[in-house]
Amino acid sequence: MNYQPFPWAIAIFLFFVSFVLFISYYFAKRAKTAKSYFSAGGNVHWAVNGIAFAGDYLSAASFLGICGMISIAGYDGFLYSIGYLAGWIVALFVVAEPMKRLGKYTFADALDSKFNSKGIQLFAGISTLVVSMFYLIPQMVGAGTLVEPLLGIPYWAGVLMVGTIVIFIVATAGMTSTTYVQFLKGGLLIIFSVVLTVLILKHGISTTPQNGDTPYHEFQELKLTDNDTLELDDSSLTISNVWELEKLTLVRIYIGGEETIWQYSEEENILKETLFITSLSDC
Amino acid sequence: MGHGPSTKWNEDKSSDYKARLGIWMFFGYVIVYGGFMLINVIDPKIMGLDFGTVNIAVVYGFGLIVLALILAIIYNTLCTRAEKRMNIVSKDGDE
Repeated sequence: MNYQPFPWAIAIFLFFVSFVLFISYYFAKRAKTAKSYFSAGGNVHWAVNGIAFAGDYLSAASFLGICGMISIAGYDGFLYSIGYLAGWIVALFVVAEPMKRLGKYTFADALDSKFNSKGIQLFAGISTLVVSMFYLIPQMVGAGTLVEPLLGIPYWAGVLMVGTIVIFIVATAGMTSTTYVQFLKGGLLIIFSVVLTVLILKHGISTTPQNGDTPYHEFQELKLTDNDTLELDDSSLTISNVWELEKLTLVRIYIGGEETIWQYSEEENILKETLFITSLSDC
Repeated sequence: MGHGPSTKWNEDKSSDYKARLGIWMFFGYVIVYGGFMLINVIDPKIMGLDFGTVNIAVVYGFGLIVLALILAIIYNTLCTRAEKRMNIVSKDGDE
């Protein structure tokens, strides 16, 4: 698919990338020890850390991936959104406190200090790499898909560019820059999500769908006579066909020469106008 | 790069309590979460039943999200209280 690059989008993207690289460079100069590299020297404010965590969770995988999965896979996609949160519960209740007590930077270090086993070290390393890889795939797919229409560059170039920038930032400056970059991202996502929500809700909780300039068609109801037959109250209209499908009774009425299909509601003793197509899809 | 201790914490006497509390709360959540998953695996149609104006899936699913946040607040409150109670500060400022 060919996209036209949008100059403002490129300018904002370049500004954001430069700013992030500047933060990275600034904190890289200050990260001299393992403590400052792995845990930001323990000096990051809890509020910044909190929004950075939110930024982590509002990632391309969860923000775009879950929405996409719900739209494509429906209910099965919805189940994944709950699963994301269950992972957070494990980190909070089971991992956080013992990790803090052991005073280690990584999960592998914590396991190693407890069990001192080469096998566990190896397994922790392998599982970290495997999990990271499968976590990075949707992230990079998300990044590539987003950059493609934004900058008008091919998908592979988007993945390569975003991947290189992220690896460069994390590898050179450690946790401080990563935290501040995530804080920036989390903050922007929260602000713009709120703006979008307000803009959408401005039209009310429920709106009528519109298709370009075509106005929304209000579906009508037709009253029937009190007899138990399909007899219309409005004598100017006549039913031309009746279909009995499993649990549905459908009727065809021509109004002003135009074909309309109605569903019979036995409970309410009325006809409800329905949406219908005149040709079947290929499948 | 040498992986020394990440942080220099003073001895935290409430650490055992916090770890134990975390495990209990985790199992509490697992039971509720397990119920959600079991229904989905055994009889997913139950999730489609009406609950007010929405269905059970939406109420149970969003309920799990809200429950996680509430549990996190309770955990934080209990842990902070335990830290204050168990780590009494001595006169010279050391814990």
